[in-house]
Amino acid sequence: MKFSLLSIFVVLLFSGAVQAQDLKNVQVLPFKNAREIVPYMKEMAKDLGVKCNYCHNMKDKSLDEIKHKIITRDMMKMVKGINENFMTPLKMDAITCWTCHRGSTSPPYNINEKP
Amino acid sequence: MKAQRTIKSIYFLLSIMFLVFTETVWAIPRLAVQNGVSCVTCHVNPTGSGLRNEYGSSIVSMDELSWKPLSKQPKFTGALSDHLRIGTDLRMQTYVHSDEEAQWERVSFPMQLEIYGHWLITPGIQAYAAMDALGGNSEGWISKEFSSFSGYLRAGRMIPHFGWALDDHSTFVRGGNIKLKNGLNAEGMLFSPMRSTVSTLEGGLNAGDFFITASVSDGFVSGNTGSKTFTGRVEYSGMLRGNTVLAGGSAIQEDDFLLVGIFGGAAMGPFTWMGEVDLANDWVGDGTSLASFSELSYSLVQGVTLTAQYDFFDEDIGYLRNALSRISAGIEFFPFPYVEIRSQVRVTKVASENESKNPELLFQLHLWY
Repeated sequence: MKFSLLSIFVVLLFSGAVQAQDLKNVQVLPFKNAREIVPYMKEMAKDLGVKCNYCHNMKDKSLDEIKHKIITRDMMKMVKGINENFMTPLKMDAITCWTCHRGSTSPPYNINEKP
Repeated sequence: MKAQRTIKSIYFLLSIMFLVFTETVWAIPRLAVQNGVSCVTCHVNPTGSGLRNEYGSSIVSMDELSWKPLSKQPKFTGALSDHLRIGTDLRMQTYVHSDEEAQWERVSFPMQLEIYGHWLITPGIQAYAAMDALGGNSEGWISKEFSSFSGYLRAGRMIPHFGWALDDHSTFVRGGNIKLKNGLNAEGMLFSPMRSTVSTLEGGLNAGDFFITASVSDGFVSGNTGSKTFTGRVEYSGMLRGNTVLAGGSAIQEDDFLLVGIFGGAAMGPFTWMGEVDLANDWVGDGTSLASFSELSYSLVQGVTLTAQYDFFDEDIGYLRNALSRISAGIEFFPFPYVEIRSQVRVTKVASENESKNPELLFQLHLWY
């Protein structure tokens, strides 16, 4: 018991250090912790038809070493801009990744194809 | 300032409640090997097992493990708030075996009912409690993360971190047969579910592809709080030609007792292999005991895994006749999120006997949240 209390004291002694952030390197999304961001990530993964390791280093998901994550971040900025500047002012439903991707990493139609 | 000190005092006092509990480790390290990640990816416990975190609960448990993910998914994933999470593990086991008169017996019993609580006190400081409702061991600790060097310090009551934290406690590298049934003095290593959690101070460090833990505990082997148990473990996980590989070693020392082991794993496509070999001095008398475990699994489809396993235990390698070998084959089926059905047949052979024992059948229902 004494050892337990001493150990707890040692841990709390170090707890005065600068507190770690719960989420690191989140630049676009407004979420603060895993409980908020995971449901969003689940939906996005389904919209793109991928698993988490398509964009993330699973040992440290905050890293930007996989190019898909960089591209996705730019895509998020695009979606956010469209919703803020057009969809919301026009009182229309917000777009999501699904709007174009339909469960695939590439949209199922070529935007340059003429009808 | 005064409010912060008051809050810290309250946290300290509340954290004491986690110390009144004194766990068995139930984990599936194969999942970590398959995905090339550490156990903390899915679990709140940095060394794996027990309560799942948000990712482990709402993504892996709900979508990636089960054969039929739910089309309409529950909103509740165990989080009561941003700071509080609860969960549970329930395992019901049915064991079918025949006695010496070839009479078959069937026994069903609850093997595990654990209730978990996790409190994220502030980002980087967490408290955890796991209570075994069946009256067995329980676990409780508080930990502090140091993000500047990807490390942590943890203190409380727990099992020292050694080798693979397998969910099958009957493998010989863990606890083996709780009830000795083959005439040996021991039929497995020291990680029996009957062994108490102990007061432990543990430090951990993620250094690139390495995960290193070291701890000091109160008498884990002997149960004597006057003795100190020193444990160290190093694990490497990486990629080899696009396939995940994992290797490591661990050691436990307490007084004259010394246990050392190496472990490894690899995943290639639907195949996953895991293995461990441990040597112990002064475990059975003053001889050297050896235990090994090797499992090959094949993922048939998502949610259905076939397994084949070989276990070996020699209580004293100085003698030829006191060894056990066991071959097992089974299937693990995750039909829906948070549900696992497992069945296994296994045959044990004692080195001193010409014939193998009658096969044993095990069926397990595992529910968790």
